[in-house]
Amino acid sequence: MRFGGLVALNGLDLDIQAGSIHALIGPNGAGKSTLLNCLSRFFTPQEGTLHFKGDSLLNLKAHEVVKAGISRTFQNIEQFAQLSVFENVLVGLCSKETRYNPFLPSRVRAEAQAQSAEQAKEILQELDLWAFKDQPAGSLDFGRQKMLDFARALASRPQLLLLDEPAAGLRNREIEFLDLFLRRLVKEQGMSILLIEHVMQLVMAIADEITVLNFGEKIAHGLPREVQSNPIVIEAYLGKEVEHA
Amino acid sequence: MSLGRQQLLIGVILVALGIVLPACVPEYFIYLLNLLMMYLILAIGLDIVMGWSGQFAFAHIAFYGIGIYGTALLHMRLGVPFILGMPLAALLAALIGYLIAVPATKLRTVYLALSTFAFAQCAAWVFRTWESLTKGPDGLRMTPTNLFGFEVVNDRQAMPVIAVILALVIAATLNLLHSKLGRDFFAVRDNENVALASGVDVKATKVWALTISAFYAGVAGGVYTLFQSYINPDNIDVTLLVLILSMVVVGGSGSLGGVSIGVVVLGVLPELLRAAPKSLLIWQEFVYGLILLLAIIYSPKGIWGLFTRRREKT
Amino acid sequence: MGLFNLILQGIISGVVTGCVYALVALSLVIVYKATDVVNFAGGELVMIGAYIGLLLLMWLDWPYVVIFLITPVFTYALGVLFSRFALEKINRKKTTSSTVLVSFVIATIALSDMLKGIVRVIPFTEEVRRLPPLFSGPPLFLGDLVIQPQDIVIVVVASLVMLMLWVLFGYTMVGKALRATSQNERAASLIGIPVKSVKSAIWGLSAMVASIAGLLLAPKLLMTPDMGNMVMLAFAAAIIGGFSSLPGCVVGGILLGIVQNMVGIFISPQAIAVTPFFVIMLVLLIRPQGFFDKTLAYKKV
Repeated sequence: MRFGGLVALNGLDLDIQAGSIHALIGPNGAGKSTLLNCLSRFFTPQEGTLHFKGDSLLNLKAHEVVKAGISRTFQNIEQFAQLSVFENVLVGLCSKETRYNPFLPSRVRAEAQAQSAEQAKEILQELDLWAFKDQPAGSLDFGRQKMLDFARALASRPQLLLLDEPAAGLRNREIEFLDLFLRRLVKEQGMSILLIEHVMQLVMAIADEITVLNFGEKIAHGLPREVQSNPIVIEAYLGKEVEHA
Repeated sequence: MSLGRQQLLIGVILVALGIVLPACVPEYFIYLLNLLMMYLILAIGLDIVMGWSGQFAFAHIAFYGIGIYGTALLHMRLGVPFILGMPLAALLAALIGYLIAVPATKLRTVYLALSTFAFAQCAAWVFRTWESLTKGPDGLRMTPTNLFGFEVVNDRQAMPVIAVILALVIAATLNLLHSKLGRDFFAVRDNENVALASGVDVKATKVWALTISAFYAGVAGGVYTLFQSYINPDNIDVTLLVLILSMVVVGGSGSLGGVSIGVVVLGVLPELLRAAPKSLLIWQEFVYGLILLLAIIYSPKGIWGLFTRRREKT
Repeated sequence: MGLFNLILQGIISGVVTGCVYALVALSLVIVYKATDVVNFAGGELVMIGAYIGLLLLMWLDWPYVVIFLITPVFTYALGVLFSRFALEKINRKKTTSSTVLVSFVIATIALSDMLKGIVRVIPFTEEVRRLPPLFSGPPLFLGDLVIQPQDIVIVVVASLVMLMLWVLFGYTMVGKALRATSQNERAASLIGIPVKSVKSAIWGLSAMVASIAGLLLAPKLLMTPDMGNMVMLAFAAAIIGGFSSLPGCVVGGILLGIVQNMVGIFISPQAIAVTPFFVIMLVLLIRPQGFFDKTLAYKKV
């Protein structure tokens, strides 16, 4: 994947096993977010293939990815700031409604709307956001805004969840919550997760396998324990300490 | 109150006023009310593309012109009755809006604003120079509208018709506001990336916004032909766009209540200026500019925004 | 006059008017680069420059050179005031950047109305006016071509302004501060540049340049409060330059001036009015980033 003269990803080979958590780590600028943007079809790589459940992702446009079963979160807070918390989640849910003329009343559409509203309510309650449902998303505090991003991504019940540094800026308590929550998603819904993260505490705790990137190339891959002790990885981080609670 | 009840209530009130008022209110006020109702349709259309979807598309008045000339000429040249002519003209406006929208929505905000503005000026130029069709700057005298054999000759007769059209427009708009497409408009305005990640086809949504707003402008143009008897290309210019924009901003973009307040406040203002002791009408432009500036600095969500902000605090 | 001479004359007069368009385009782009604001009041700043010049001439009867020096001072102040009291106030509310931008643009639209409105209220501006020629004297004759001395003055003054801007941005500390703020506001403030003042100065500068263009234009055109509609020509010129390149504005302006005259010769005088709009739509259709700019006109998404 190139941007002008800059090669962001080079010869990357990555497999995410179904029903597992695959972590992607590496120093800043390694190309992790670029990969995520490729997977969610915000970028199109010049060469290479992307497959999901047997079909090529390259045929899809960015907005079709959700219907295919892939959801993503964002590194910086990205949300519909002026819409309410409830509406933020609702936007991604109403695909059934498109078939009906927006200017005319329609009972079938009203039913689909009610259904979407139910789903949104469920996910907001699970993530402790229901109390804020009518508040504009921009008025929430940072941690809750992150949870909202999460809720939005989960609302469509994806099979593959792409998380871009979900733990950044969270307090320990919130990270623990994330830990348990992600594990539960995999266990109860068989979700596959690609986790880009810098917070090693979380990575080491829940990742089933880890791929390490540096300068757009894969420099290591394997189980957490293997990667943790891999000298190449340690060097890439310039001695960054990996903590294991 | 449920959506359906809201629409019914508004519709009944509008139509009732439309029937009762012409019988007991002086003609000049009837004219003013007709004008305000037409402005409201224009303003809602502009709000949909600018306020709801955040697209700075300044071509609105071009579609308004197409609506006016379309309805009038279909009637005068081809004898098409208003009941068919107006929707046709509005559809034509929407079609052209669609054709403009496809390339234009790819552009950055700056360029979108400039290109749509350029298009509007081109349209005005066409209206002015295609004299065989529009009689150019001399203006077109329009024959009175024929509604099921009934000739609508003056403001009093036009009012109930306009009220009905406005009621339908408001009902449709409320449906749109609560539909997925409506919500997608707001999503695209707030954050295109998250909208994409949520499955919203951002490009198509933007095109829809422009196309639909063009339809509204076309309808407003049709309404024009109901109570005005003369159209001059100079009336369809930037000044009108700025007026409508001001109504949307000052009243409160993004809500029907806000836009309505804006239309009433800014629509009635020139009358107040006229009635003032030493006719202050000449200050009109400056006052409008000042009000718009103050509004955008101190209350960007308009008058309506002031009310909703207080509600949020309680 | 043969066709060839007609064309040459058209080119010459196109260069003259093009210089003026270029100046206004420069004023638009300077402010856009620094603050991301599309100044829809650009034309009105031109108009105000002309009217201030008119008032000074009528009340004080000073020579033109003085008026050229004094008028920009007033408009500089106007630009600074607008930036300080309107734009910075809007900026203070912590809303998303896109809503702030929209608000800025609406503020410039409001400003344009206010400026037009004020001029309309001043009693004697109801009559259409014209500033006396910048330089009265016999026209120069180059073979069959006629060159008004006034036109030479326009080109000279415009070139001087462009030169001064070039020196200012390229070679002075102030210019560097202006450029830094344009490129990255946050970084500029971190290294100690007073960003708010710089932005106000840029608005002042832009207003100054626009008013000088107004003084150059007024003797040739009839002055009305609606003079500002010529801003579309400046926008077209700026778009040819990609809205971010200052030399691009100059080329765009001159090119546009010439094209306008060619359209008048080869198509029809009526079509002259619509030329800038066609240029805008055409350029945005085939090469949205203009011909001088490397950044994209397409949004990232």
